[in-house]
Amino acid sequence: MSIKIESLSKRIRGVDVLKDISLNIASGQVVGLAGPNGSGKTMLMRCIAGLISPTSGQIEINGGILGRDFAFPPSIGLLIEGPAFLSGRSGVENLRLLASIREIASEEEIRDVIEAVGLDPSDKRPVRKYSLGMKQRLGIAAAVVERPDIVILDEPTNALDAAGIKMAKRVVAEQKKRGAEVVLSCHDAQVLHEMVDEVYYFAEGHMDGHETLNNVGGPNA
Amino acid sequence: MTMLRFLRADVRESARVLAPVALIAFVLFVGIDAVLWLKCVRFIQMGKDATAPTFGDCFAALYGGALNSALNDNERISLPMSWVAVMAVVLYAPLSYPYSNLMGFGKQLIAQGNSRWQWWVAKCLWVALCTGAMALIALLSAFLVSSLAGGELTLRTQGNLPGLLGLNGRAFLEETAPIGSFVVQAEMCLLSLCLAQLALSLVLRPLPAFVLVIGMVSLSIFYFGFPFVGELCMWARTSLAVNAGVNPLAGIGTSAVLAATSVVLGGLYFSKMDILDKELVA
Repeated sequence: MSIKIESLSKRIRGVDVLKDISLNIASGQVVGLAGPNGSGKTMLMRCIAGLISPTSGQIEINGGILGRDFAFPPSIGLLIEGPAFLSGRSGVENLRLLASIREIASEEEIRDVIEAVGLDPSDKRPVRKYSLGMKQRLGIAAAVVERPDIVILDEPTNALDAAGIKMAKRVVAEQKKRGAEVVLSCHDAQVLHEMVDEVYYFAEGHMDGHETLNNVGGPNA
Repeated sequence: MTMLRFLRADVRESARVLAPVALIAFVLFVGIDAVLWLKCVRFIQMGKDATAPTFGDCFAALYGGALNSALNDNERISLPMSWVAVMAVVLYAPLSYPYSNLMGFGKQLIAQGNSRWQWWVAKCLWVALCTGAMALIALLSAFLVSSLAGGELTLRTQGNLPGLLGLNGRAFLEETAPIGSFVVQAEMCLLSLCLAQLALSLVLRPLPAFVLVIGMVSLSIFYFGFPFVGELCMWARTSLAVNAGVNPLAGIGTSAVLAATSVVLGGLYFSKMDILDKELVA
């Protein structure tokens, strides 16, 4: 699986939110997007996820063009714009409903992933009674429960404590290890650098440089 | 298959959202039919021509509407408030769930399902189920009140129904016909309006879409013909009840065309629509 973004631009209501973005993501690579609020990180993630279509340019996923050959990447997990769940249902019920669409993840895998993010699979409380940190953990679990080829994590460490951040790093390392492409953003530069192979810097919708690291799966993870 | 899974998820999740609206609808419908029953009792006591309300009377009372009185006529038009309330509650029921689903958890479901069209068709089917449920509530309310009142469980309406509904006009037929085909026409029209509202809610967001549709429906009291299709939900405008009224077959056909147009145009729009968060949509 590879993602090739070519000259991607997006204009919304007269504003260029993405300007001529080009980047490649190889299989098993973790890419970080850094930049201030409104710099285009989340917008690029939305484009990769197929939620919005570019004004110009294209996204090629495994040789197919997103929006032309398929509406969404064939195998994708999302945590974007904050975790959104059915507030009246428990964490397990939410993941069960999500997994019911493709029927890939088993009940055991659902419970395992909930445990892996530090939640209790037997917790019957509805999600509306979860703390922000617990919702964030559940959001990470939802993104990876079906072991997708592409994982999009928009600010995965938001609202997480130190243990939660460690968990997020571990989950990202696991995704890399199994060969998934992970695209994530994080406002904490240090945490971001500890999680990714490559960082792309964004400013006002355009790419403002990039940096190659290569530390995921290492001791920090 | 994915579409059915979307629909299954929608039915499961929306039940909690719809339950209070269904309860309100039931109370409203029974209330309107109970008022008809009381009027029948009063008419009988006054020695006027009336019987206990039939099943047909009770259903027609919910969708009575207003006579075909043009604004330039000198006739005084009384607003059919109960009809507007019935329209509003039926249109409101399927209003917010699809959009809120799209802005929240549904975003993940669409990506998992990998098809915008299947998600859209599932939402259209969900709206059809929702409208069907409201139709069942209307039929149940009519059955309940006519049974309690000791009225006949027939689709026929009594001769003085226009008078009982406050629809005094010369246009009514000497003998109104059974309302079977009107039931289908009214429910088809409501379905088409709900589907049009669903499509508009993607473009405008739910509340403005509701205001626009209920506004057009309410204007049907005064104006006739397309796009004021609200009259297809009015018993007082059907050829079963009045001279030169809307033929039920034509009403069903018009509703089917509007429904199909809404599904196709809404789907085409949604297939290209940017799925943004609420702040960006605003």
